[in-house]
Amino acid sequence: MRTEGGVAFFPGLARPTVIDLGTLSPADEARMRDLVAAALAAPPAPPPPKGAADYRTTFLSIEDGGDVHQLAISDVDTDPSRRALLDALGELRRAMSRR
Amino acid sequence: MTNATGSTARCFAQPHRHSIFCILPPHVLKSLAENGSADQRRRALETMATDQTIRALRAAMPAPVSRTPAGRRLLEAAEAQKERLIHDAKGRTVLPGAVVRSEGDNPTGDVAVDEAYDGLGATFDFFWDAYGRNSIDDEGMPLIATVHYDQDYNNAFWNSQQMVFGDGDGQLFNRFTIALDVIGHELAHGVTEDESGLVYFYQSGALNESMSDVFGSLIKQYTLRKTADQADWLIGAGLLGDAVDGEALRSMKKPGTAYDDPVLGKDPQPAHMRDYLNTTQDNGGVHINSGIPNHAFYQTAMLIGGYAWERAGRIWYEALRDPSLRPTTTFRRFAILTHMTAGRLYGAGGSEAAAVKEGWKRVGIRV
Repeated sequence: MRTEGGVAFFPGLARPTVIDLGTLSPADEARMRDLVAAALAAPPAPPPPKGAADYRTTFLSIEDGGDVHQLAISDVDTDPSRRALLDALGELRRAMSRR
Repeated sequence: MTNATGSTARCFAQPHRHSIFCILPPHVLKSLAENGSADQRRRALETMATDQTIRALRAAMPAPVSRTPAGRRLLEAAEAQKERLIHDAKGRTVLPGAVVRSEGDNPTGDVAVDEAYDGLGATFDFFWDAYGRNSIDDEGMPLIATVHYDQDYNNAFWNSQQMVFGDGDGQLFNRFTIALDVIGHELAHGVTEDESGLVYFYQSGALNESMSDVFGSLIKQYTLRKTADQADWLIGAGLLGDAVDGEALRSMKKPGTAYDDPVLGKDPQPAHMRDYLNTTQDNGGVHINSGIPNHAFYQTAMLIGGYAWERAGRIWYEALRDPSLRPTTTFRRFAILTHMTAGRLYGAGGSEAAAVKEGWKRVGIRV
């Protein structure tokens, strides 16, 4: 995953981050898989509102076995499934940074 | 290797261009991502992610904006109608959240709430006092902001209806209400959208960003009563955490020098067209290449001297409002417009028009 946008562009923060669900507890892994499945099944995101600016967009390349899925979730995306996945990924990243 | 794979290899040699110039269909990339070597898989995933960026940009491209004539405002407000509403998202991402301070309410004691309230007030006062503008839409639109958005959220944004401010993580970033120019920057996005609808990618997007930096900086200069040579010309001073090697998000005086940090990287802003960055990241480099028009404004303001909001700022503001400004305007087209505007406001042979011309020339743009 990588995050772009925001009020400024920081090259160091735009680098991709890899989250290996296999390193999570079985319960957390199952929760993340459910969130990913729900986000992938959600209706496509509409374009950002005209005039919106400085919002961030998180691009996800999800590899599962031989399958690869793509998702883009922006701060102005209000779909509850994608927002739930983004919030969970934020929690994971914060937990990773604390280790 | 097949021809397709060979093409891929050439494309990968130009990481910022492959998604534009490569014509590999998505299914070939997907196959490489799933079945290629480790290196092919990595590169295919990078390309797919970049292609996704392009698709997002295309989707974000609005329909052509129908410009409203500059003289549309039949009802001129006799007095400013300041109306602020500050909300608290309480660490969640649901907008706008609960109202915690309305116009005229006393300070709450919550620093972010009160900074947002004061910052919106200073921004409103600036536009009214300097340019007679009555809020974002010049018709008294309420100023709505949400603070405490998400957890450790390192950003502030404008969602086309309101401003949103994160608390920062306390390490890389402080709270985003700490910098008045950042509050002004976000509100100015609303002004730009109302006046010109500058499309938010590539050069028009960088101009959109630059307009927000120009007015964000001018709001701070106006509030502190600093002349052009006294101003710091920084955007977001005080926003970076103590451990970060940097002083701000951007420098209009010296683009590319605001920070150089092991975690954040180095400020990538160019100050001249010879260093213009062609990229698909950041909506086509809107926060990167904005350094060029930012520096042109700084140069112009320094050449004119005095308070930058009075003449340099007026020229930029009136250019933004000009009906001939198109949503996909380029740097050069905007430069020409500012030069024409300076001539219209202060005389074609005046020192202001000459300063505008020289300001743009110093960043590599001739008018």
